[in-house]
Amino acid sequence: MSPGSGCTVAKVSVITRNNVVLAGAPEGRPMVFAHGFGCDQHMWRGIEPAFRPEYRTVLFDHVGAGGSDLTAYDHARYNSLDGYADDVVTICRTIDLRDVVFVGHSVSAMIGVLAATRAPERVGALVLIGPSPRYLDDDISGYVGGFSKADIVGLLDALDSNYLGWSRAMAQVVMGHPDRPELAAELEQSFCRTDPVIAGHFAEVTFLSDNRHDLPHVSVPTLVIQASEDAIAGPTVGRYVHELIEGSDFVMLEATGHCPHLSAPDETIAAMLDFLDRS
Amino acid sequence: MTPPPAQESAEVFYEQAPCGFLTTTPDGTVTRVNSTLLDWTGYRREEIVGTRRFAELLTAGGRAYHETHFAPLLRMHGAVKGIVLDLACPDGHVLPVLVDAVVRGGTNGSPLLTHVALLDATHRRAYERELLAARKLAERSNRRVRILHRVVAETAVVGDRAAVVDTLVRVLGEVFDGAGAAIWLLDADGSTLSLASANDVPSTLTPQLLSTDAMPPAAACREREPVTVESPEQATREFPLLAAPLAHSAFAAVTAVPIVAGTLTLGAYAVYFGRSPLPNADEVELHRTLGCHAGLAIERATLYQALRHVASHDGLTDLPNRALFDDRLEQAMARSARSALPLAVMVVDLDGFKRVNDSLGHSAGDRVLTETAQRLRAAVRPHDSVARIGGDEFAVLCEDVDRSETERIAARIRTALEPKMPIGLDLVSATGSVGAVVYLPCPGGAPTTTAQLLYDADAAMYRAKAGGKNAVEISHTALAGL
Repeated sequence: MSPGSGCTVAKVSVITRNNVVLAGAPEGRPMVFAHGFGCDQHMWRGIEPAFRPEYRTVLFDHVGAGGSDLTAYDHARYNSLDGYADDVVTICRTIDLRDVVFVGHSVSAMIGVLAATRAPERVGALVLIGPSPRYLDDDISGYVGGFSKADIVGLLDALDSNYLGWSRAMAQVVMGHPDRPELAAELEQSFCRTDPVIAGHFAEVTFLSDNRHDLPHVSVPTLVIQASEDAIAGPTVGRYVHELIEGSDFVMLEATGHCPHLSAPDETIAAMLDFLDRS
Repeated sequence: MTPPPAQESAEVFYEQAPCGFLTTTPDGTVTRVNSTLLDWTGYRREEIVGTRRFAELLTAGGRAYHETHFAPLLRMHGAVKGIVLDLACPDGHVLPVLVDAVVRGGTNGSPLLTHVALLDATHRRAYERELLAARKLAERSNRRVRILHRVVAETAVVGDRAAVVDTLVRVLGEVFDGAGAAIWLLDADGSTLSLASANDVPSTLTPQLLSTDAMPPAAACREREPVTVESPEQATREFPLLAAPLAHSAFAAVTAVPIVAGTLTLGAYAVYFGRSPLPNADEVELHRTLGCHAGLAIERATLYQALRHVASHDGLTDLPNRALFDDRLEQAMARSARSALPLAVMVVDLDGFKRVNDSLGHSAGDRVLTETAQRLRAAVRPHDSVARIGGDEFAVLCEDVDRSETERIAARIRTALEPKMPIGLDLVSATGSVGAVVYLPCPGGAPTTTAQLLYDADAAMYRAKAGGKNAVEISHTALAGL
C-alpha cells in the first residue's frame, strides 16, 4: 500500500459526497460556488461559465442537497453551520485549493464567513450574495432580520406540504406509468430536489442561526452583493453585513429578488469582476 | 329567453375559469389576474395589478419557500408544477393553493412573462395535514422513546453517584445533538446548588455554586418545572447574570430541568443549544420525564453508595473494616509488585482496653476507640489507610515506604496514643503496642498473601506487648527477599 492511498480514499469520498464538479482554467485562481437553502449547484449555471476562461471553477452540493451523498447526512454534524463550513474547508484542502474566491449565496454566505475565519490560508476572498447573519428579528437590539419564529414554522409547513406532493409523484414513477413517460423525465430533470427531512433540518439551522458575532472576524477582501428588493435578506441586512466586515465592498444591484445570479447574471458577473480586478 | 351559448369567449373563460390565473413580469410583478382569484382572495384588482409581486400575496412561510425554491426553480427550469403555497388574503384568512407556473420567453430566449395557474387546495391540504400530523406524531414518539431508552440504558449500570452524574451529562449532550450539558446537585441543607459535572460547556456558564435563582438551573429547582431561555435576548430580560456568558459562548439557548425523586428535589440539569429552538410542548414533557429518571438514577446510586459504605466500614469509628482493609491491601500488593516499591502493614492493639471497658463501661470504651481512630488518622500520612479490624485492634497500610520510614510512622503512632484521653471526668490511659512488617516483592521471592502479612504484623505486635507494651516492633520475616 502506498503512503498516499489513504489520501486518495478521502479525496474520492469528499468529491462524491459533495458532488464536486471542477471546470475552467486548471492553473487559474480557484473560485468555489456554494448554493443556498432550497436549491443546489445548478443555480450557478447563469454565472459560473463566465469565469471559466480565467478561473478554476469549483461547484458542489451541500450534503443533503442535489447530487450529494444523502447517506453522509449526519444530524448532529449538520446541526449547525459549522458542519457545512468544515465541508468547504475539507473540499479546499482535499483538492489543495489556495487563495480561493468563495462565492456564497444566502446561507452559504455565512458558511463562507465561517470557512474564511477557520482556514484563512485557503480562502482569499469572499463574494457574499444576499447574505444574512440572522433571519430572526431581535427585539432587544432592534435588529430586523425579517422573520419571526411563526414565519419559520410556516416555512417548515410549506416544506412538509410539498414533500407529500413530491413523494406522490415519486410513487407514480416507481409504480410505473408507461402512459405517462413525461413523469419520469420530469423527475429526472428536476433541479433542487432535496430529501424533505433534511430540507426541514437545514431550514431550521439556516433560519434560526445567529452569526452576527462572526462577521468582525473576517479579514479577507469581501464583496457584499445585494439585490434591491430581497424578501429573504433585505438591503438593511446586507448593509449590516457590510458594516460589520471591516473594509468590505457593498454593491446594490438594480436586480430584484433573492437570486440575482439567476435573474440578472450579467449584472452580478460585472459586480464580481469589478471587485476581483480591484482586490 | 335565449339559451346559454355552448361556448364562451376566451376572455370570459379566463376571467371565470374554475381556477385562478395570474401573469407576472420576470421579476414577479403581477400584470394580470382573473376574477376567480380576486373572488377567492378578496383582493381588488387595483390592489394587485402593477403594484404587488406574486410572492407578496403569500404568507411569510410561503414567501420564504417561494424565494428559496419556487423562484429559482422557475428560472432554471422554465416551469414549475404542483407546488403547494399559502395565499394570505386581506381579511386574514389563508388559502392553500396548488400552483403551476410557466415562463414565456421572447424571441431572443430571455424571459418575458410568467403565467401562473392556481387551484384551490383547501380540501387536499386538510387531508394532507391529517397525514402529516400522524407522521409527525409517530416521529415524535419515536424520538421520545429512543432518547428515554438511551438514557435509561446508560444509567442502568449501578455505580457511585459521581459516575452516574458524569454518565447523565454525557448522554444528555449526545441525545440532544451534541449540545453541552451540566448537572448541579443541592447540598444537604437544600439551599445551594453545587456543580457536579459539566461536558462541553464553558465554565462561565457553569459556576461551581448557584445560591440564588439568578440562573435557570436554580429557577428550575425552585419552580420544580423546566425553564427554557430561548435566546441571549430573553436572558437579558429574565436572567441578567446569564446574558453575557451566553452571548459570548457558542450557545444561544438553554433548557434547565429539575432533577426530582418523589417529592424531593435533588438538583437540576441544563442542556445548552447552539440556536434558538422552535416552540415545542413535547420537548418540555420529555425533559420532565428525563428529570424524574435522572432523579431515580442519582437516588439509586446514592443508596447503593451508602449501603456499600455501611458494609465496608466500622459503624463506631467510620474506619474501613477488615474486609475493605483486605481489599485495599491486595490492590496495594499488586501495585507494589508492578512498581517494585515496598509497602508496610502495621497492627495496633490498645494496652489495657479491657480494663477501661470493665471499670468505666462500654460507652467509655466506645469513646476511647473513637478517640484512638482520630489519633491514628492524624498520625499517619494522608494517603495511608487506617482500619479497625477487631475489638481494640487497628491496622495501617502504608505504600511506598522503606524500613526507616516505617519506623518513623510507627513511632508517631505510638507517641500519638501516649497522652491520656479525657473521658467524662476521668483521664484514661490507652497506649498502643505497634507491630509492623515491611514487604518488598522481588523476582524469585516467595509469594506472600494479605493474611500472611497481617499475621506477621500481628506477631510483631505481640512481641511489643510481651516486651512491656507501649512499644514498636518491626518484623524481619518479609524482608528476606531484600
